[in-house]
Amino acid sequence: MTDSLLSVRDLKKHYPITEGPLRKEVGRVRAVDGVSFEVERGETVGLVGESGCGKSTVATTLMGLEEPTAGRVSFDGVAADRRDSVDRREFRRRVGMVFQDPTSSFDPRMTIGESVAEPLSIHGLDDRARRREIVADLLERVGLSAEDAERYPHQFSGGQKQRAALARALVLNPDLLVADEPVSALDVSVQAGILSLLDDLQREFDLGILLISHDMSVVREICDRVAVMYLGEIVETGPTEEVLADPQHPYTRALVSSVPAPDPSQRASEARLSGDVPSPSDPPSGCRFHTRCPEIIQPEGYDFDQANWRAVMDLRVALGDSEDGDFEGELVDGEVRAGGIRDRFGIPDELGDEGAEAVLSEALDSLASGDSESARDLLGREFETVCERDSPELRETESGHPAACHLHDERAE
Amino acid sequence: MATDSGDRATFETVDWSAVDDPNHLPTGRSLAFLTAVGLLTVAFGYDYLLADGPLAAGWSPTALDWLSLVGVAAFACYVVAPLAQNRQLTRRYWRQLRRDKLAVASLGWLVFFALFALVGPVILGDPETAPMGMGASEGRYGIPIYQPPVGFGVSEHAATVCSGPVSDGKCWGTVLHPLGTTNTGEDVLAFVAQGARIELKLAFVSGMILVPVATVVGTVAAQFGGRVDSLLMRYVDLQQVIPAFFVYLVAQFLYGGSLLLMVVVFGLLNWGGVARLVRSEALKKREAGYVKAAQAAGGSRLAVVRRHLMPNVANAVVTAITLQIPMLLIIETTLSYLGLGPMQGQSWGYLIETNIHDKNFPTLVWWSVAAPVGFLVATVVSLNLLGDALRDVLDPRTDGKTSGKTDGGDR
Amino acid sequence: MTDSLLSVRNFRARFDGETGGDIWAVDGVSFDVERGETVCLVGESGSGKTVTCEALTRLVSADLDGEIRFGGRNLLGLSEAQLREVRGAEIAHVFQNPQGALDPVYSVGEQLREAVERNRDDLGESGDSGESGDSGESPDSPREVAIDLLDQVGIPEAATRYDDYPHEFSGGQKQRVVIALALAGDPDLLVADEPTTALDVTIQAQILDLLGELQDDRDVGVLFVTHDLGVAAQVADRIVVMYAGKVMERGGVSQIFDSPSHPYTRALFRCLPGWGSALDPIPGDPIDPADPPGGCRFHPRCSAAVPECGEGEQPDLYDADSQGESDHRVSCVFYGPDRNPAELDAERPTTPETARVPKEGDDD
Repeated sequence: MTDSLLSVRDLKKHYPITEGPLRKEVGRVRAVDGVSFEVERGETVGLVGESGCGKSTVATTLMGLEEPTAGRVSFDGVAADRRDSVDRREFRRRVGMVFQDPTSSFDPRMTIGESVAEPLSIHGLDDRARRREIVADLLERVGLSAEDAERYPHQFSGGQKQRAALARALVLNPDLLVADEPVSALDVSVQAGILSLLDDLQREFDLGILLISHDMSVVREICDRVAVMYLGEIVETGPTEEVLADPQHPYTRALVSSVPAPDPSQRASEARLSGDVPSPSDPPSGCRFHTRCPEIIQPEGYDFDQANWRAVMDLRVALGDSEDGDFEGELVDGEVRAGGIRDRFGIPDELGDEGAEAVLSEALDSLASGDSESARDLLGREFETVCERDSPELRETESGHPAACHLHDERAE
Repeated sequence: MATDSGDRATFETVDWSAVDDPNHLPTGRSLAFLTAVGLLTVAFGYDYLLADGPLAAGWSPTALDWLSLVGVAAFACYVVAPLAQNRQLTRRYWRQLRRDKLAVASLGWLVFFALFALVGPVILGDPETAPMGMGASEGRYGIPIYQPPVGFGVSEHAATVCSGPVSDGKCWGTVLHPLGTTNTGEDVLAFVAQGARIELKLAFVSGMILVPVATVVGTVAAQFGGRVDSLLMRYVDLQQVIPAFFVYLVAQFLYGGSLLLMVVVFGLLNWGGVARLVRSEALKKREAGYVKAAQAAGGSRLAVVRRHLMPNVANAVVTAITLQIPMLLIIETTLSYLGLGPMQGQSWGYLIETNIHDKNFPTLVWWSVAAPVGFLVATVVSLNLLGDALRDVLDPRTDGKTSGKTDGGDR
Repeated sequence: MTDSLLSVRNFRARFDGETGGDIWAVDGVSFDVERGETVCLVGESGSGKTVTCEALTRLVSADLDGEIRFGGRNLLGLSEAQLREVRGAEIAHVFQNPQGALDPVYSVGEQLREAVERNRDDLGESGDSGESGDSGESPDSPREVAIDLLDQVGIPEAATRYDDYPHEFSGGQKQRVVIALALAGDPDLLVADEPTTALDVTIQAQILDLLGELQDDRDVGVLFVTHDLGVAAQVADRIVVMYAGKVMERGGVSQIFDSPSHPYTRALFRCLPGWGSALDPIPGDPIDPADPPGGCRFHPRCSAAVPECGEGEQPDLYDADSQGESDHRVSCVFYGPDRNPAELDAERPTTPETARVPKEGDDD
């Protein structure tokens, strides 16, 4: 483990939510909540997830642009908090970074050449002529021309700017490249060019690359390994081919199947994920995906149809969210009848399981009488699932790569 | 992916263990500026402590003059020198500016104004004894009051002495008093020149206080955030509730009025608004990729402020300052008009005030009011127009060669 | 053809270039949209797809030329006042960025109610019944209609969310609200410009489903603009591939995806990441709209280009299938009279099939 180029252990980054003039902390946004992974030399690791899952925060935190709340980031065996000033300079030199938006990546007042050379002067290369030569050479290697050094950012297209951004990230001859959504602002035809350039550069310089992306296709294209993030946690990780071909976590499955296939004969018919990503300031208990998971484990002692069970969970999630009384308010002056609620959440009039039906009916009755609290308590007591109770650990699955899902606990036991 | 780069230096060939840490020596520009300030300090010390009487050639500089010289040094080192060094950039700025006719006219006026303020008082001398004033007049009572400007005539009987040609029962203006004379017989042109020098010093020195203080405070507050930000901004809040005008009046009462006092009071109490503007601009820029890129490459926060934030808030500074300085000019004129001015008796405001209340205004001496008002308006408007134009000129994106973005909605 | 819901013929849009020249952002585009059908405009930035769809109701400040027939009249000939009646009530837009499409200072309900009321005024029905206050409303008061719309686009607890402000909605929900706004006028044609580009994939899937359901319910025509071939494959009935203001190829969705015929379309497929084949970027940079190349706009970047490609005008839209009339049309000299499209394949051995390996193992 100490030999990994980059090793991230249990990284956490919480942002305090403060209130009032004294900045009293009233809560925390758990942007990154215990993330571990490694990047080896010459390897591309993808960190994939939807917006708000914390993947970009991982990047800025491991780059040291923000202080981690907890956890350890080691580069080439040296932990971030053990670095002295020499190590720190060396770390900066050996890790390059590329950002998402090529337009804001360049100071509009500096020529591309000046921008690309900036890291050199930051690190004390004072010889101007030498800097110019290095930049000219590098610009050519990323597919621009040496004369481009004299031009200003606004004279370049997005793809060209992203090439220049790669040049800037490489100019200190780094061992690791952190690329935060490097192609998501570009057209497909341009994307392809940047991705193959990344691939070439990696092979030429034996770079380790941490690629952060929301786009499964990009990850599939260039990553050797992938880690899937959801709400600040890694839910599944492994070799890209394996994870995408045989996803072990329901979230990965949903993510993979949500990518629209460029093939009209494969129009998706799978069930969609319901709802939105919950707020990281108040993440769900247990498995953070349980509020949306289509494969959520059923409570012991009941036998639901899985779709019905998901629908009942949706009702429970809605009840849980409505602590300020929203839900009651609407129910009181909207349709008070229990049937309306069943309708809204797609719960059939009769659940297959009689015991479950009895519990649900009782809960709906108390809901209809305006007592949402006891409905919530009843449902919570009777229909508690392991997914909301325990937080699953990342553990090996039969397919050979780890995932954090209780479905695999069961099989293991 | 050509790798045959011959002898050319490439990024792989840099032996970083042989490269020293960057030295933090000041740049040549800063060195020059510090030297200049050092010399000025020595000269000031000599003048203040040792020398009796005038420093050189009958010139005994005031404290404000010393400050102005520091301002000149800063202006030369940080504005003129970079422009002269980077000809290409200067040409581009000029090319860009030239397209805006109004801005060129404004610049022309401001250059004329500066020269006029510097040279005018020397050539024209004291308004009362102006070369074309007392000495040249051979009137019945010796004082040529109510002389009209060139090209205008007034009733022969109105002007007690007419130093120009008299015809048709009218006294015509003469080049001896191109802008006429006041109701007390002072040469208006010489008076305006003398007032212009006051305005110039005021604008220049307060600008030299406002710009650096506001820029540094604004960018540092934005970049460092947290306590630094809170502290600086709370101070700005505090400062902004202190009315500079009132402080000036009190200080004048206590210490006596001087232009230095006004520059110091208004310069030190007025940068808050500009700093706030700079801060909000810098906050936006701080999130830009190039700032993060510089930090990721190991640039210190101060280096980022200097290299990226300061140049990129220049637009905001220029705009704010070209509004702030005209305001100071107007305040000074107003104070003098109210008889509270620092340089009572020499300022435009005084000229306006003494003549506007003349019983013959506006049939006569309208020119003594029109001239300073005209100068003031032209200067204020020019500053505003030039500021607007500079904001665009300083932005490299308006280079004229940009291709039109036609498909803005696309990615 | 004459009965099409929307019929665009030889449409052109001109902007003033900053350096004085003309920029033809759209230069001779023709296509139709039928009722109940989804037509996808596919292209990269600078292809003119956004200008085309915004020009339908003249939301762009460009000189427009050609013919846009909708509901029996040429929209380009209408006055601004007449156009206002078309906007919303007959043609409604859904934009890419839901954040920008909603005014942050009004509640979602207010914005929706305003749209409903505006539309009633346009139809000549007095809309003042809803002004009487919040209580005691008639079944189809604007408020009720607005809540109903929110419900239809899948906003849970619509009545409670009515008074919420846009920032209280997530990105996906905001886009749902924007769709509700577009539906407020009960339009015949929905113009959706990259409606899911700003959203995450799982949310994108939800919104695409929603649009599909709404289309089935209301039998509206949808003009869908996207840069994403995957999205196009999921939603389109017919596809128009644009490049640099020109139509390169158009046809039914299966025609385009099973036998892409224009070299540009083929090149686009080859640079789709993550679908099997090695990436094969399109060489060169997008063209300068102020100074487009002669002949076929794509020829400077086309690997199959022959000298003839650089001459004259953009080739006509030839029939892709040499036998008989079909809707599949290609603007490429290789499909012209006396040419054999097979030459194209000879130039470039890559067949489109390699670009489209099915996503193996996703469905177990």
